[in-house]
Amino acid sequence: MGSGLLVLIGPPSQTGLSPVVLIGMHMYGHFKQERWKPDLVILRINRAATCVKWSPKENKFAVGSGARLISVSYYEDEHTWWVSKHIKKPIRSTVTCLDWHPNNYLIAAGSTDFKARVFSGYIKEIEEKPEPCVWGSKMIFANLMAEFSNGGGGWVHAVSFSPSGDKIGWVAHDSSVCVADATQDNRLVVVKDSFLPFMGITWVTENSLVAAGYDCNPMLFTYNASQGKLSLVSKLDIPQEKEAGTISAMNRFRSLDKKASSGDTATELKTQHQNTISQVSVFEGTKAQCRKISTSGVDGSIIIWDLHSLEKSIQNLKIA
Amino acid sequence: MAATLKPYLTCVKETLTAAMCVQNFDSQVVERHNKPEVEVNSEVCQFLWQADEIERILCHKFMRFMMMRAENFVVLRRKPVEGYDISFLVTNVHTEQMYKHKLVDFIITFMEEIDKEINEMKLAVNSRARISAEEFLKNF
Repeated sequence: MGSGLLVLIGPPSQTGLSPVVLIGMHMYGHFKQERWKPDLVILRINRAATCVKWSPKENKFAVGSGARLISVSYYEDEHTWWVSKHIKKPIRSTVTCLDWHPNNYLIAAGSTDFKARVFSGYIKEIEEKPEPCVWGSKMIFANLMAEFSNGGGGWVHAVSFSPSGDKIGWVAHDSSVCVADATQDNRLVVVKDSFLPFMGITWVTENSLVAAGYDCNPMLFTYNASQGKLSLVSKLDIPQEKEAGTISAMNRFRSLDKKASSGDTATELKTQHQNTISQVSVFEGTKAQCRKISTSGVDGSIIIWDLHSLEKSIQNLKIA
Repeated sequence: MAATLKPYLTCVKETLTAAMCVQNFDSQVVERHNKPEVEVNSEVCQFLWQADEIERILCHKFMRFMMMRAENFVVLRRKPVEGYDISFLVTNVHTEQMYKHKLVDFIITFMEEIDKEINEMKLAVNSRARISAEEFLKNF
């Protein structure tokens, strides 16, 4: 894997300002007395890190890597550095995405071996023994709580715990959107339609999620637990109709000159994003009650979507 | 453009849009490498229709001319994949640096233009052959 620079956002509560930078693979910025003090992080990985995420309580973080493992790091006061424990089995390929359960113990991970998994990230050195939850009661570190495969063959691009932590949703390169529900005996629901693959997913309420990707258009899905159904509600980017057929003479000749065409061919996509959306995240509010989401794209733009005003303006959009 | 070509090109366009969902994926075996052919870069090859001998010769010459200048076309391969007249190699770098839909448009326009050029050249060759034949036969 190429060595990259990963930026670790947070912990916001500690800093007030949010970005803390993880440089290379072993350094971690620590905010003290108005300046950044680097701390040592020993990840013990021999391939580049691909993703990183703070735990909700911000006392540990998980790093996914190309070395087919997840490093869970916590601060050791005695040595004043961050040490790591590894989750190895049964991951068989690069870990591409991570998410923490709100209880601060469980980690959801997606990987290029086409599977989404839930692991225990309980570290007995620094925290209390966890209470049993819907995912299981045996929570020694690195225990595999659940493993899901949607039967297809798609790399998992993004994974997200629902606000209660009882469900996980993920998207894969086979254009699928999947939800696994631990309260319903780990029931798996998959939606596959004529979409292009999705790259990012996040829950916006306990039952709704937003996914976006190569279609350049964020889409809202709703999960119905009693019926066990996941369905597309609406696309969020409804293009405004452009007045057609009124190309001024000047524009016509300009485009003839520049592109050797009379300008009637569509050169722009109708969506706001002009290229693949790479990430969706909650911008304002929480996963349980999200007001705004943000999407970032390969086209270099970040767009903030106000869910409330979208709900008013799009006819069939009802966020459950 | 010939009307017969239109459905074919539309089909190619749709397929390209669906296929061009590529991303970078570094090698898991060797640190700091990525090998295009093994991982995810999809190779899209186009076959050009050639009805007769003249079209075949013209096409071959024309493609050679293009491919010698392949670096100016960015996604054009210098050497076509076996069995094809011309092939494009689109990698994640291209789809990241350029707009995907414009990339698809480019390939479609490219194919259209080539078809047009070859048709024109074929006409030119034929009329030239006719004139020279006339001139030659005047001697008898």
